[in-house]
Amino acid sequence: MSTLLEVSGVTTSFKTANGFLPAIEDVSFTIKKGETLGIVGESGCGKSVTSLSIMQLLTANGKIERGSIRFNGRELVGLKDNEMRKVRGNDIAMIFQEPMTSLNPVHKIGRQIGESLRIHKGYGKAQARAKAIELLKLVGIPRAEEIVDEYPHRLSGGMRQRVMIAIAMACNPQLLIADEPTTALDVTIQAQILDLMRKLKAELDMSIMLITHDLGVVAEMCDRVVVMYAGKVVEQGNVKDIFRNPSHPYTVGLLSSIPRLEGRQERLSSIPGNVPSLELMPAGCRFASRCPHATQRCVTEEPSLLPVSGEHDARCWLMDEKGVAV
Amino acid sequence: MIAYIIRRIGGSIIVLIGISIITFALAYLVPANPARAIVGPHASEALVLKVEQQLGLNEPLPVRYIHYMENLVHGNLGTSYVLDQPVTTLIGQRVGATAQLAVTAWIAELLIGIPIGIISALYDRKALDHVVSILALVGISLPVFFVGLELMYWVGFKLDWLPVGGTGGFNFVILPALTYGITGAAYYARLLKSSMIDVMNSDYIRTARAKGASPNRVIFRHALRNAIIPVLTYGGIDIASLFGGVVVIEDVFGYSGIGQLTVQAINNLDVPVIMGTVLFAALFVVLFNLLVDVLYGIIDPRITYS
Ligand SMILES: Nc1ncnc2c1ncn2[C@@H]1O[C@H](COP(=O)(O)OP(=O)(O)OP(=O)(O)O)[C@@H](O)[C@H]1O
Ligand code: SF4
Ligand SMILES: [Mg+2]
Repeated sequence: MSTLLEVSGVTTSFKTANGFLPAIEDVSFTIKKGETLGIVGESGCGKSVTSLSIMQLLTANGKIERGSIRFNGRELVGLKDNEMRKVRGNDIAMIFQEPMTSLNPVHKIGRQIGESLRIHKGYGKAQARAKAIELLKLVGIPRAEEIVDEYPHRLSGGMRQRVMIAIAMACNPQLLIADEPTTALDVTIQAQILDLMRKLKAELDMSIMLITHDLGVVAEMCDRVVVMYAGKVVEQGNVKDIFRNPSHPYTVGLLSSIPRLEGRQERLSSIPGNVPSLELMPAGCRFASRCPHATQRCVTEEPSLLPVSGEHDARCWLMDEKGVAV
Repeated sequence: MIAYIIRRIGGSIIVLIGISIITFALAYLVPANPARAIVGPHASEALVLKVEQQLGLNEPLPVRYIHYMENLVHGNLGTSYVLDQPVTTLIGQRVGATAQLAVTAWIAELLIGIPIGIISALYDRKALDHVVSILALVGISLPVFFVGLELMYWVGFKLDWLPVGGTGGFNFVILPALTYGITGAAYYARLLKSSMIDVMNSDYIRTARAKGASPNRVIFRHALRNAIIPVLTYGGIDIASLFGGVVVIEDVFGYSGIGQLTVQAINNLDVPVIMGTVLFAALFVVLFNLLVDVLYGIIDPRITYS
């Protein structure tokens, strides 16, 4: 499989009251064509900042400071806004966590779905509307001919997320970035939306970058996974390898906090302690204050991503001690 | 929607009747006597009584109010004590000038205020925002008569582009309207700025940008319509009050509109004219309130009339 997206060494910082601080640091990963990559980590670990960096939709106080983001070999960092706009919604589409607020309340559904077609593909009004109906059917919305002329407030959260997916699918993107697309939805609706994404991925031959809190979702949906902690990639590898042999103590913690009870959904929170804030980032391993295996070395020296096996890496000194090649 | 409008009109009539009662009571309960005001301080008591009788002022207040309302239903607002002309004629003479000034002044406010609001929202806390905000602050702080006189002096007198004052065609409206625009726009700018900032940070604007929409598209097709919603209420009240007359500006420019008529009537205790102008102004407040509510429903599909 060839590489679709190659993120390497990306550091994105925000201007805060305490100065310009990196929210993600030296983040690298790749997404292959047709692959679903999961990005997991607790709240505040930099998952959204990573995806917004790829889309270059950071708020005005944020900036990609270093690194490269290549899409089909083409460098996106430093692209002029009018060039980047041709990528957004066309080659790379994105859906968000909040279906209730992500649609414009004063525009009809059809117009919102057709908009990217009008922007990127030069569709006329009628043409865009017809395609919008088609897309509504594609994402499994009943009575598509009526819904196309409805306003978003008439739809439930699950339906709105389907509409968001229809918007994302409009231009047949090569990459779909889904930032916690089901977190705000009921469990049953969550499953439906995930099914839909899987179906569309197969039908439309795209890659997905799926951000989630939920390792259960990763197991179900993803080929590979990147675990982020405090703005850094701490472990990455094939889903199988990660689940069978979680190597970073943080990943181990996440895995042990997957709710066992059928249907019970919880945020990953059973690892004691909190993600350090941007202002108080420790010098050594960022997980040291919460890690049961922390040593003196962990507090002073930050580990780099060390190989576990094949394409499986973990940012932990334990990998060093295990004697696996450094 | 139609049912809603009919219901609202019914409600509006009740409001207007309430206003008429209050104005009537206030106008006649002031310690000054309109008859005395007409005949002057040195006239004899007998003359005052005679005038009172002529005007029907000797009857009890509720009876007078009933009379007034009977006439009102027939489109008769009474006759001015002082100018000796029907109140409807007096208002009718000025309504065109007032409407012209009101609408132009309102548009001037919007034309100045809305771009300033958008710019200062988009450049929030950047240099351009500061420049524009300071200008807006200056505009809001300058007294109306000062701005009026400056415009009059520079544009009317020095450059001789427009008439210095008076009432006539559209040329006479521009300077007073501009005065109102300059002094009133800042409020619109401020309202729009804050709602625009909220909207620009909203999720659906992020969605629009994620589609590859250009900044212009994002601002004008996605943001503005949402951001204008909170500004609408003020806009309605504002233009309604403009229809009630713009006293200071009419005064500065010698513009004979409803405002001038109202002030004269109050000075002379000319109760029928006071009643007429107050009801006229109230009618527009009620009317524009209704219009704004209907507009809300058109702009914001989430609002339903029930
Ligand atoms: N616009 C911003 N301005 C300042 N700091 C920000 C901004 N956006 C994100 N951050 C900071 O960057 C860090 C990472 O945030 P991010 O939103 O990427 O987390 P996340 O992993 O997506 O969390 P969640 O699971 O809650 O969505 C946080 O510490 C956050 O405070
Ligand atoms: S480097 Fe040390 S502190 Fe960090 S995760 Fe590994 S063992 Fe724990
Ligand atoms: Mg997030």
